Amino acid sequence: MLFNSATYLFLFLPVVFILYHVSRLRARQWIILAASLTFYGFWRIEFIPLMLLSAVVDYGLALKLDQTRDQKTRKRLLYVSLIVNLGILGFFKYLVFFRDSLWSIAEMAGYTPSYVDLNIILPLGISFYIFQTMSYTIDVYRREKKAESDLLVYMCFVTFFPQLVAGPILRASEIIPQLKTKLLLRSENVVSGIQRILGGLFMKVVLADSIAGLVDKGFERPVNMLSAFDSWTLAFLFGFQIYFDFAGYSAIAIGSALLFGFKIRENFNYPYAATSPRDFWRRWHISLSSWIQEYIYLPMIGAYRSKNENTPNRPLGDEQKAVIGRRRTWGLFLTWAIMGLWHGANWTFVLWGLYLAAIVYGYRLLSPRISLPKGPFGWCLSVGLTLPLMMASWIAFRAPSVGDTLIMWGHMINPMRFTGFGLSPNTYISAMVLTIAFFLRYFWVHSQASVWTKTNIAGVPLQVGYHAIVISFVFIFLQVKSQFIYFQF
Amino acid sequence: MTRFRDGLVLIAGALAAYALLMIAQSRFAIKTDELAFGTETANVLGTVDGLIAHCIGAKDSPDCENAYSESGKPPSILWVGNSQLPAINRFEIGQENAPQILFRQLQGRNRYLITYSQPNANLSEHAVVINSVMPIYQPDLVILPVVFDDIREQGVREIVQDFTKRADLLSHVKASKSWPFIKNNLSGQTGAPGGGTAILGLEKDTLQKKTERAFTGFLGMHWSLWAARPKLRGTLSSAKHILRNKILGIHSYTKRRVNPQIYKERMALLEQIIMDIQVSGAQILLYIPPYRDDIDGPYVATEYDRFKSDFRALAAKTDSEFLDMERIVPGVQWATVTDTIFGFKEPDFMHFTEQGHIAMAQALDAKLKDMGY
Repeated sequence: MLFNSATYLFLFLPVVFILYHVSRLRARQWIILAASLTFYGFWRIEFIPLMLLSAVVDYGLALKLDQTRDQKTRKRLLYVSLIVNLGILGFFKYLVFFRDSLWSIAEMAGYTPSYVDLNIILPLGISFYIFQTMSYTIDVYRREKKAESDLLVYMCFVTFFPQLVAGPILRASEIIPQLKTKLLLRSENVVSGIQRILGGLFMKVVLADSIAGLVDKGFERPVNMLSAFDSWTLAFLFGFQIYFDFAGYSAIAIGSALLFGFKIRENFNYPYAATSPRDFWRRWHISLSSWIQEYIYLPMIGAYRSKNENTPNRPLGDEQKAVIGRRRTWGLFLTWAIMGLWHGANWTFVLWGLYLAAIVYGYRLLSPRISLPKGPFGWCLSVGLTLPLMMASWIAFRAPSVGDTLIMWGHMINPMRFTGFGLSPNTYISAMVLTIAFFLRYFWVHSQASVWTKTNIAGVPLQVGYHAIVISFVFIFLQVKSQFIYFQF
Repeated sequence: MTRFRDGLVLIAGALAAYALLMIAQSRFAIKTDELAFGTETANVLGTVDGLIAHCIGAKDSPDCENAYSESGKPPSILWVGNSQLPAINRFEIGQENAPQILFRQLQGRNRYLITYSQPNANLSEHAVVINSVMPIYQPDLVILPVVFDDIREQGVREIVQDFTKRADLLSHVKASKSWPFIKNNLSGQTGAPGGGTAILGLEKDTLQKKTERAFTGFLGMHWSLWAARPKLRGTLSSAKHILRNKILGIHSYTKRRVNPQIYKERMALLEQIIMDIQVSGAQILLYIPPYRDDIDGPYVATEYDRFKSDFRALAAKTDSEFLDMERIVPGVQWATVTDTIFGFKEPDFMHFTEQGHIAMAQALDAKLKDMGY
């Protein structure tokens, strides 16, 4: 089911909300499971068994892991879990990609392999729920979490509808305790939940969907015809589209969960106001960055096994200084390549990951040698350097091919390409207005005036006006015009 | 206290939004046609003697196809163009546009005129329309205007792109010489991995789609405010466009340069369209459409002169018939655009009165007679 559909907002959510809050704890868990399966089944009912299979396998293996003391057996059980989960992911998401890549190499070597058309549909949210169940088994293996014996609670954790198809990626320790508690119906949660949903819808249906047409048109143009201005504009505009789209989705997910009393971690924190590439990954898709950090990057560079386990969630590349250089560097690049592939089975995503690894690596090398001034000027300088670097990465995310990406990047840094404007005027205006509006909003949220508006009686008309505008725009623009971009991943 | 206040603020905001929307619905929501043409000009997609022979795109095309079949599939002529064809300025009941007038003239000579036009239609869209409908009507002649102002546009809108949802038509479009030029303008053909519109199996009629269609249909039938949303969206979009132009000092007569690379690529596409038509065995009549010359317009004179010269040369090179109608509509017959939101007035360089349509139809009719139609 789509968050931006009338069906979800006016039928599904109110019905589940009422049923949930009038029920006892056990009944609530059944309601959440039934609602979650209905939510998923609205896309395709035939893929529900696959999700349940992945969940049940991990449920059983985790119980066994908990009971087993022999380390070798435990390791084998963990491998079974990884093989099943990665096998499902590999088949549905990567089989065609790897087959085509291998075939291309074979063709270059002079062989002509025969093609069989494979029409594999990527199940919605597969990358998210697989990561969630995998992290659960790994946590149990590491003895950081006790296996959950209640199958119903465990199934609710895996399928919890607000975060099922596009995150935030939850850890069992965050959600299972909440599932086992009879959460009270609190007015502040309901009000706050509705506000988050409205904010998320505004980002998706008013902003992201409006930009989408301009972005699509821009990227449809022959890449050789794009000037440096055009390429930069498209990078910024797609950067805002994907931000509004995904942050909007996350806000709706967090708001929906809050209506039921569940607290889900934030997934975004004004990422384009980041002062460094590392800072960016503390602010963008936070649940994925911390997942990758904890379950791929740190083990890969040996930091986890070095027993420095009391590490808080930190962005990729921000590990202990003690880890030796070369392994750190390889780990960084390999992890980012995996991060790229997680997003999609296409070499453009690998390129995106490697670009980001290079940025983080460059920052790692340069930051100890260069000291930027402190204060507002230093902040502006840091943001001014980071923002274009991060925006440029979106070219790889959106361009149709690696070749097109490289050409566009080439144009962006070629002084001879700063020649003309080939896109529609609205494209440049939108990119400029959104950049300014983003920072105005950022300053407002972090200003004393914002606090004053929320606490002073004189701020009430402003708040009412703000809500009136948001609600009106969401009402007018609410329609299932396009998917959430992250549904593909 | 804070939670009490937040709740009240939210409720008050919702009530204020409702009031705002009700006011907007009753005072500002305007018709789509008015948004496109202004208050003085009407979009006349009328019938001729009950026959539907003028369509916009894929959605209403079956009406034109059925009318043609019911008429016994006489020898046909296809005319494609932009909003200049249906729009009549200072419209009065009973007035007819050029396609209607020409339809009658040709009917007398046992020829059936079918017209397809979309506002701001560009060459990519013409290529899709022509290659989609040619196998249906198998026309003896295709009339194709090239509006200089539309040459900068490349995208193919849904109203036209939907032709490619019909498998038989898609194969014909894909087999055309124009295809390499237009495939990137069709969304879903570029395979962009991060494309916002890529849908995973949702092209299927899922439970989500069916429920949403039924539920929003129900809301639209029983809640006038819900039904008014498309109009309100159009009004907002138009207001944004008008205000942008006011702020930036953009007028209908502001000079708009054409990107030389786009121009070159568009002219190459035009040549491929001509070849597609010729390969199918039809003749082609190219024409320069009427353009207002009593006041200075948006075209850059040197660019426009070059275009006319290139266009004429292309017609000669491809053995196409050519007609220059640039000056056949006098200044007084042209429109003024008054937007219905703010009431700002701008001269119109695309649409004219019925007198202009008569002049255009007569000029075309004379040319067609010369060509033996």
